[in-house]
Amino acid sequence: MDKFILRKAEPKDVSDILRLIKELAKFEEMEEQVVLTEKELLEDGFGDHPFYHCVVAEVPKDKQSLEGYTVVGFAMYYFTYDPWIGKLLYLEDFYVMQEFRGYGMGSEILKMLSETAVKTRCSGMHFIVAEWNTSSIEFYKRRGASDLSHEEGWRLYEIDKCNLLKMSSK
Amino acid sequence: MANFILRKAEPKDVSDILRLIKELAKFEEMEDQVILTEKDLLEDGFGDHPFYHCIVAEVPKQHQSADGHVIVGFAMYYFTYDPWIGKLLYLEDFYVMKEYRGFGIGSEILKKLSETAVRTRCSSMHFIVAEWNKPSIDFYKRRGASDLSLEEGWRLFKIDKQNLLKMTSEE
Repeated sequence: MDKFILRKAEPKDVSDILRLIKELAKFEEMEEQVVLTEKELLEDGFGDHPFYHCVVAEVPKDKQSLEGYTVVGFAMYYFTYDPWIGKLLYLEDFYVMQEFRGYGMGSEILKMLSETAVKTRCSGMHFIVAEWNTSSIEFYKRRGASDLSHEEGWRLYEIDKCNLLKMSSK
Repeated sequence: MANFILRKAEPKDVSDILRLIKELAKFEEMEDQVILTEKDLLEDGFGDHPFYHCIVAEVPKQHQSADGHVIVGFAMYYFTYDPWIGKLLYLEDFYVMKEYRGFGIGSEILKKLSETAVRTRCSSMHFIVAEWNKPSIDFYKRRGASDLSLEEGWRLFKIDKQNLLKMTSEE
């Protein structure tokens, strides 16, 4: 199996996007944490102001997955802003179904994202990887990725909704 | 000095925003790394599609800084997307000039950001802090912040422009 195409996601793809988001979450043993719905994905990605962008990998019907899917991989990204250098492309989610790995889809997706980043005049691409995920870390390092957490000591923090509400009501 | 207002940044503020970005970078000993220009800030923040948003803290003219500035603090943020929960508010830069600290400007800015996050139906606010920056870590922890890098082992990676170009030209 080596035939596949990469394309920008369309509104009709939200069901497959959600399915793949859940598959990736399952791999991280966090499937029940996905509370996002198709309706939100539709509003947030295909309205006047998209909050995210998606690239999907599609195979021909005769190469569909066991359960009959033709959208077999995706990458979700958006633009962020570094106050020192400007626009960045932020890669949020990146996943290819297990049965479709080893055919270069991941590499092609990353290449397409690199082209997007260069075309939109981004200074770089950022993303986070779990420290235990050695295979992903290797995949990215082979493509020149550097660990900013290691080099610069950055740690990702969160203030959740509960505490935001607490602050806004004080 | 107790008088200050917080407001959305306007195109006329880009000069002050850049000044404060450089001051904060200087604190991190990275001032020469700031290559962004006022023109970039103007295009990227006040065009059809803003790539960032800013809140600025302004004092009355009679309380201007030693160098004559009335914009004495800022926060730069934008919206990101978590595939499990949806929209998030991402706090990118947050700084108050040293002579204006201790008056609650920082707390008010964070409060305003919290209101923005809740109003725009964001699930939470994310930001990164350098592991050595203890006073900032304590400031955020007092407001309920949790260290996701510690709890979930996330590490921030980057692929710089050079390597992106390399990938685009590979067969």
